[in-house]
Amino acid sequence: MNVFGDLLSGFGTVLEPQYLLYAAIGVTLGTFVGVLPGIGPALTIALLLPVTFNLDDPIGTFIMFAGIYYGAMYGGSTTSILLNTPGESASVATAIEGYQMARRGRARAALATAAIGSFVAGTISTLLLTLFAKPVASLAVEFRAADYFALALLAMVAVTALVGRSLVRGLISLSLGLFLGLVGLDELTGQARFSFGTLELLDGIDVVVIIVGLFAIGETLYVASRLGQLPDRVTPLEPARGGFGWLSRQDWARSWRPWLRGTAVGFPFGALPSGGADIPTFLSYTYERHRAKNKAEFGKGAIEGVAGPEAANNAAFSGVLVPLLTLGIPTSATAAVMLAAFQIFNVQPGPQLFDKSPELVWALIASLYVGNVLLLLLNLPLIRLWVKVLQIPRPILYAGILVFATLGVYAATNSVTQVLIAYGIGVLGFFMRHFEFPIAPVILGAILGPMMELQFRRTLVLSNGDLSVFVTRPLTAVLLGLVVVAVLVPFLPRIVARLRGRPATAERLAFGEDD
Amino acid sequence: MSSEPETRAGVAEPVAPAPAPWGARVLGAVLLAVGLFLLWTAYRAAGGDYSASGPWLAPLVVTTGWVVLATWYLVGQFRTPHRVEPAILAESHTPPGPEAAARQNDEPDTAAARKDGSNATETRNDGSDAVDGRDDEPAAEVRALPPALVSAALLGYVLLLAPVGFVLASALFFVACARILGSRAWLRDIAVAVPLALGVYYGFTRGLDITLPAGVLPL
Amino acid sequence: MTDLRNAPGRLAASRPPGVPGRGTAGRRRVAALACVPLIAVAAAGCGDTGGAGGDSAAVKYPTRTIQLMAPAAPGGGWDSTARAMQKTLTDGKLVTESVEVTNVTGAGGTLGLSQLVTKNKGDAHHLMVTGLVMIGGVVTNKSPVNLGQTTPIATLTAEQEVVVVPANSKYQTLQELMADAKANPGSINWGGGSAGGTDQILVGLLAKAAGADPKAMKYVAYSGGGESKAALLSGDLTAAVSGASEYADLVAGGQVRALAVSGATGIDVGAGKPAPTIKESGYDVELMNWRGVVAAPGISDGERAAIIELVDKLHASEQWKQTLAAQKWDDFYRSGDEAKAYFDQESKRITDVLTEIGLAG
Repeated sequence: MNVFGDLLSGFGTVLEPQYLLYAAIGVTLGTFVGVLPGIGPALTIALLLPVTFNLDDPIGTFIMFAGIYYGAMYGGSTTSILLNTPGESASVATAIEGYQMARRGRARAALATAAIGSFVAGTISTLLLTLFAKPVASLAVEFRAADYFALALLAMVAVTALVGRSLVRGLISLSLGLFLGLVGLDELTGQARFSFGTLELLDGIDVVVIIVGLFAIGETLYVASRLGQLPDRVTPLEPARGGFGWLSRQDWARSWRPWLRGTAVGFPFGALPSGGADIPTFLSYTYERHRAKNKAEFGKGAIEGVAGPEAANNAAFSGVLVPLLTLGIPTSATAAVMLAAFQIFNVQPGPQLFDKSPELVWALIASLYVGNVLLLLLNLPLIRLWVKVLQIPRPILYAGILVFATLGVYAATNSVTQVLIAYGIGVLGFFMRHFEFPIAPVILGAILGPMMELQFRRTLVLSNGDLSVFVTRPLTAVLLGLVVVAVLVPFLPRIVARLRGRPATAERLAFGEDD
Repeated sequence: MSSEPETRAGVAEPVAPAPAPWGARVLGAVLLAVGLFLLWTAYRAAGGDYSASGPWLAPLVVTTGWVVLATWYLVGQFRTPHRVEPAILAESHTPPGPEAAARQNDEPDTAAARKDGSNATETRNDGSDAVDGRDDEPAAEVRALPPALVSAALLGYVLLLAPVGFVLASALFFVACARILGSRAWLRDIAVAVPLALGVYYGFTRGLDITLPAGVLPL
Repeated sequence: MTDLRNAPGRLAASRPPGVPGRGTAGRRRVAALACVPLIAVAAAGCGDTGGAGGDSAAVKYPTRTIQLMAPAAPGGGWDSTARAMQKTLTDGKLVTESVEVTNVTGAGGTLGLSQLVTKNKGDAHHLMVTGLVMIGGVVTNKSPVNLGQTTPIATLTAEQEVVVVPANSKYQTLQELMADAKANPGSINWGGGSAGGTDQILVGLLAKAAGADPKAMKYVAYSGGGESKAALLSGDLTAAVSGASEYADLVAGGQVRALAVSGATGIDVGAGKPAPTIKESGYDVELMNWRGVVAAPGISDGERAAIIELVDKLHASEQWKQTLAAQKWDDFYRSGDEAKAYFDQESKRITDVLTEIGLAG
């Protein structure tokens, strides 16, 4: 019970009024910057971090940071849901169903399930972090390049459902994403690929630029082409239930399992040194869709499709802290920023952190719990305000989205070229929408493609080109076995039926052309 | 409707009218041409290095896949020129609601459109039988001019950003863009644009210490 | 092409961050409009450090805002150096004008370099932070411009590199490791920062010194400091190369062992006692991950002398010494002609080794 004693003393520190104020300021700032369309959580954190550095007190800094982080995450989901303008890859899965819900007047329920789901996932995963940080970390560093390749392949196969209705169009979208992921210097050899002789393309195309282009800009152009058929206001809202009525009884019933499942997939993925938050959100989405009773509702605003990915996203953050705090390994951009914050105060995260600076670590962990609670307290009432965004007349709303999208890319890269790249991808996004190409596979390709390629090649270099490493290492072999299963699952009913000597009558389970 | 639209993360459900066949054919041809160009680029750069651990296998695989898929797509557009999308079939079962008329109204600012929109959703509950939002919309025309104008405005915006400054460029762009998107309320747009641009500028430069181009205004 | 520390587009993970207050994206300006007249700072009077040429104050400098470019994303080594310079110059009242730091991100710093050489030519108020990594970037990116086209001012700081192995590794000394690397290059999996960066350069130099073929070394590049750490712990890597401070906690925690450091004198990298240098281990290799500052090309000799004098003052100031201590940077000061000679010598050495590794082709 030593852990709880430490944690309690952490709470003792954090619950001082001054620190609570820092946390509240952090959550508020994070939410309000994160909610600007086209400015996602990663960017928000980068923009706001210096504010925390102005405090001279490490504990205050971390408390404010936790607040900013949670606020930014939630702010990002808010715009993904309301306006379909996710600002980073981990919000894309939320946008799929969330925006559909908003379009059907269910914005309140979508925002509420996201807020409560974030809270639930954040709290549970912080608890996991509190209790199991060290064992989880020692498991996570067992993963080798071959395992990462197998894992990426598994994720790729598992989320092919996102390819959608038309196989050929979905695959073209996927190739486009894979291609965008290839642009720039090859990490292993330093050779330039598809940079066409320009220095600007050597660093590749940031996924954030791709997302802002495809969503914020592509969506606006698409809306512009269909002005005549759209009502002036974006989405009418269903009447508020008033009081505590963001979620109906049915919504609660449909949300709580996805919250828990999202947490279950998000936390371990986050803890992997090359995991990250985006893959578990897609996995969670696919899984919820796969097991939904009413599959037809998916794609049209199923609440499970918001609840799961949002929970996964938040749980992944606590996961990311596992290798950061126990081994000093930052596994995401946010974690790298946190590591920088540690080092400013001359604290080096690593195996000795818990022994050397226990008060700081436990204050940080306690502040995660506190940040979560504050987020919920702030954002549930604010839902009322956010849904008002939908009442803004369409021309003003979309003009504003374009201004913020431009601002976001420009502020992040300080480069007109990058803004132009985002615009170019936006035009692409318009044509993709016009010709009914799905958008999500582009993001998947751009995230998973480079991971698969890099880890595959690393494995081969490390093994001197010996392919047998993929089957001789038990962990890799198990993961690859799961890949085979995932490929076969959709055909199982048919196979079983054939084995029984009957014609296949059952539908394929999933992943089909028209599931 | 029983068939589900793809889960594109974009809005964008099937737009009522199937894209004109020639449009899709042009697209397929463009895709094929770009794919061939990229394949050639990769092939030339690889210079015979196809080792599995080398940097050129993946580009070759991806671009070859692209070429194959683009061919598949293009052939499909010719083979079934009048293929009707499942979404369209479903749409024909759904009578265009009373809102159809209002949506075609050219003046989007009318109260009718708004009221009508809210009626439309009230009939949809969170139940299982959700109807896709745009399926019941009329086959209104798709206009090419507004997106082209918005793109041009964006281009002007980013090129003006440094020389003219963030505030002025943003305000100008905002008003122009709102106009292209159908706003006819100049004064309202300006009343929104100027404080927005100034607020963002001061919030970012003073509050967050990020440099945005000041440009010609004495800020 | 770039070492992690200066990796564009990424927040350099495991490095001491910049001056507090600047860890982020975007171009920032510290409100540094120092309107106070130049006050002689106690230690800053001499200006005799490093043998910079030119007699003082022949040219009045600066006459307007100094634009100090960090050719990488905020948060990395070049950025922190630029921020530290900015803070020292303005806080210490070494300049009456303000100093603005701009980040030009991309391509191992060569994007910033090409901007300095082409756009800012002849403008003495444009300075740029540079370093060893940029030389590598120029070579591997086949950059059309190189460091020799700028006006060298000074080198400022340096960091040693460290070679580490997992605690359960059979290698106790660098000699044992290099003996195997020479006899059977395929058996050693080297890992570190990005291709062509400081870490790979060190592996190449080590191989050369040990009589092995630099090209045969199996070097696997990782983008973040964290990734190579994880790969070392998971058993993918036999040995990792990194900045000296990066593995401190893992060395102290007994999970990895430091075999050697790359500087002239051994330093403590976490074990509680100084690690041996590579030279002490019997290989004639010294490599410092240095950073310095250059000015735009085409400026007058008087302007050059004035900038050198200013940087001399910066280096002599008390605040700079504190910054070096806080950031754990080694003082590595050479200015004026000495800096130019050093840049040229490093350019040649780095280009040679990268060519031998096969990265320059």
